[in-house]
Amino acid sequence: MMLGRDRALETLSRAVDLGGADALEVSLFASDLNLTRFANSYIHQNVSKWDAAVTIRAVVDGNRVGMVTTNDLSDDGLARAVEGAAAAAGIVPPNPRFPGLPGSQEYPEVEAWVEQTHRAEASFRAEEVAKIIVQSDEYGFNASGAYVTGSNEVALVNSLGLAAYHCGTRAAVNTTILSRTSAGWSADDSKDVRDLDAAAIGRRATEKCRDGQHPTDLGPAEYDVIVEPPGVAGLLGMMGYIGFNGLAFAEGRSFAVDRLGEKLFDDKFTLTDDARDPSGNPLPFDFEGTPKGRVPLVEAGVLKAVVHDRTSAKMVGTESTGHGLPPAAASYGAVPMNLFMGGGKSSLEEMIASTERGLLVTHFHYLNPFLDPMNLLFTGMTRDGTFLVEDGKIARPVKNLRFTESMLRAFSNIESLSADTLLIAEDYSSTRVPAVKFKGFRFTSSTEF
Amino acid sequence: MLKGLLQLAVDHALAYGASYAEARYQNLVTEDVSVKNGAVQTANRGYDKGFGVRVVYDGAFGFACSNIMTPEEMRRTAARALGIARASATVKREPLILDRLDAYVGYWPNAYRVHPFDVPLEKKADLLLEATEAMRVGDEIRVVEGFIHSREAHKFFVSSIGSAIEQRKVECGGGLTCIAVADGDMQRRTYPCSMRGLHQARGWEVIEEMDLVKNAPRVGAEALELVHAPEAPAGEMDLVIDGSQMLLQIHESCGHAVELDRVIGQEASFAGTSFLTLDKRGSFIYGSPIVNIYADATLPGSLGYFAFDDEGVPAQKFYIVQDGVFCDYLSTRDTAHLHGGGSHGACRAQSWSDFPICRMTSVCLEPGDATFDDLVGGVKRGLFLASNKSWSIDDKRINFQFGVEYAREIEDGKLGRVVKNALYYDKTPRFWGSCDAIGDRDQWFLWGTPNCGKGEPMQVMRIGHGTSPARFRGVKVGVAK
Repeated sequence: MMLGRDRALETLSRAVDLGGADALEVSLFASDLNLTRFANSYIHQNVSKWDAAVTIRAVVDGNRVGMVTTNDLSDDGLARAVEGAAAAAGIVPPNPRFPGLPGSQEYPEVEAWVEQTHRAEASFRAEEVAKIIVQSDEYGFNASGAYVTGSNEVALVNSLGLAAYHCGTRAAVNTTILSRTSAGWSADDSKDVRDLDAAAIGRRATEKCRDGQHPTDLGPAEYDVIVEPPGVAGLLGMMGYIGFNGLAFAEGRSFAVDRLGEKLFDDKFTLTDDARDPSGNPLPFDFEGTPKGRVPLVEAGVLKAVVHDRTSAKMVGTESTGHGLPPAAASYGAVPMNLFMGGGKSSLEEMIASTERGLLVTHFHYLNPFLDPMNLLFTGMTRDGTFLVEDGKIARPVKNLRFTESMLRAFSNIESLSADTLLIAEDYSSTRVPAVKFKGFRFTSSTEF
Repeated sequence: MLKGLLQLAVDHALAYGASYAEARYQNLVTEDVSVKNGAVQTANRGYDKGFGVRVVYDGAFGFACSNIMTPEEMRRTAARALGIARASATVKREPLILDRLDAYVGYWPNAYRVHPFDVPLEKKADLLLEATEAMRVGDEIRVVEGFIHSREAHKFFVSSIGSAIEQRKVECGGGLTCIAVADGDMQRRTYPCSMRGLHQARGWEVIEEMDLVKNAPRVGAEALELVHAPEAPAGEMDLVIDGSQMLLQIHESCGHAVELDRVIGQEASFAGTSFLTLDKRGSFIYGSPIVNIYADATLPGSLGYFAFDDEGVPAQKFYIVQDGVFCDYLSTRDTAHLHGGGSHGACRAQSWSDFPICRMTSVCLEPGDATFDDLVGGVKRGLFLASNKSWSIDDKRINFQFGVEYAREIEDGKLGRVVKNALYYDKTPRFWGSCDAIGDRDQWFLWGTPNCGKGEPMQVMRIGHGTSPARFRGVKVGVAK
């Protein structure tokens, strides 16, 4: 189910035309999410979710702002919401930080819609899940995971003439294969459901699980570590959230404060946010209606920029980079949502072959970046396949380890990068990353499996 | 009228072959007021309503939902749920077993003194502005912020076994945050708790009892103290953990570990599984003999309080850990046959649009008999730790590492200087096995965490935790940066 451009913009314009405040902004988020979840090698949860909600921001006296969110898109529902937002704006004290609403904008064309993804049925998802389970069954393992197909619509209209609409599709599959002593994981994302190869995902996770059986203890220490792309994406996502966040920067609580232009990282580290790149998860504008562009964050190890929404841009006297979050989440600041980390020249096999003694990590569990944000000190556990590499070969599976490491240090100690990159996507965001080999990564404790 | 509409969905699903059907409506009204650095950031009302239909067909679940409340949409959504269940049934092993359940009919509202929506928006904004400004006790205070969240959820549940359950729940919560920046460091202090403040299933009285304005200067002063404090030590030592951190400790290392869906692998691909496997029930030594932890959905005022869960099972109280021994799970109708005796009533959905899954209700540590002075007085060298700052635990809930906002050294039974960036790590059974004293009833407090994530699609649940401070021996603290 979808609203479509015309109906979405007409609905929002109808709300804006109700008036009642000096300025009005109406944004819409609609989601059609279909998710088939399996565990113990059968489908145990299978859902279809559709919802659409609008958020009204009413502005009076230039900087007094009231807000109402509703999923009642009827005439009465919209009228109540506009009236409520205007009434709230009339009551609350002024907000000097409020940057005002933008006027009409031009947006780049991005291609994010694949009809086959939008139309994928529950029966199709069940067939794809069965292809994963077959792989696991060959070894008598247990398969679990999720197969998702869906679409999103976002639209924005304000009383200053801004009108924006975007729709995109997303297909994703992930699986965890469990044996009695091990786990293997694999996943893939695309806007085109036809790109996903469930059998290959199942095979990769099953092989990880097979190779990871009977792991042995390995004491916590500094190890060279090859982190596969999903693990790298997890680290970069956290760095973006707390470090490259314009509000954190403006408030003096980001590692980037007073360090723009400094060489903080390894020459091999280049990080860009680019919502227009079709190999990511394209989005033409942010949730304030600012056009998206390409923002180099780190170039050859030099810190180049953080990202801004209109609020943090006003605070530091610059322009928004197009990274505003939806109104309900705007208090978190601006977050880079379309990260691309530059790759290298190696294959994963070559990275392993060049390792005298180190670890190969599939991905991380329960990352947390809040220990010491100014030093980007993160912690997290390895998960679903951790292997000791010795003399250029995978020597044996090991029990999972916890790392506690500063990302300033880790990304200053990059030995090599894979040439291939992998896309990890969410509804409106994505990260495309290579595998990374870090030198001397600090693992601080271990667990029992 | 509402019952009649929902009944249409249930009847339609049954007519087309479902062996079981339920329709669940929710109308949620929320209000958020937040201020930051002297300005109102958010003055937001939210209105969200719709219904979900869950059916069983050929031994498999299907779920669909809609926000359009018409008879035609009820039938259409039921048909969609049925179609999805048919697809599920093509990839199944054993037919799912739904535990037997009696039908219930009635209306259950929760109790509150002052409905938070009756308190004017400007009064909330003024209170927050006054409290946040009171945290500005020095030039290095960079950010002061505060929020108040209010909500009322109206639910109606109808099932094919004859239940028609209407519930209404009012909740309110809030808190303060102060950030100090100096010498290249940043430290945060919150009140009354860092896990998105304090929330309870009561009214405006929750905010009044917090006395935000009175506590604000202390919070600001502690933020300043922290930003100039030395780093916390590393090594192995005794800990006295405040209730504001114990809630997170219980949540992560006990509450999630006893969710039966995790135990049997239903969350394996996302949140993980659990070390508390089925063979351990009734015999595994989870903690020391003084450790008693229970789940209680009947606890008034808790975010985990309700009369019936989201599949119509009555609220219950039962022990999870008794005298240190692990004794029971949180469970749902489709997992209850694994322990017998009926579902423990822990099936909850984030909203009308979500498939209900096994969730914590109110998971609480039973108070002991130690005063705070007893707890600290029994430590020769250690740390007092309060309010969470970072949290991470492995996917079987064994290895955890938690950082805290505020820590003080303990020397010879007395609280000493403040230290920053304190963290501790351990393995769950060893840690709880080292617990040798628990704070008394006077120190027991009902916290509420509103942001527990689980499931795919991700659902965020509101959960209660009652805790006292407690003492643990020989725990590893700190790691080198």
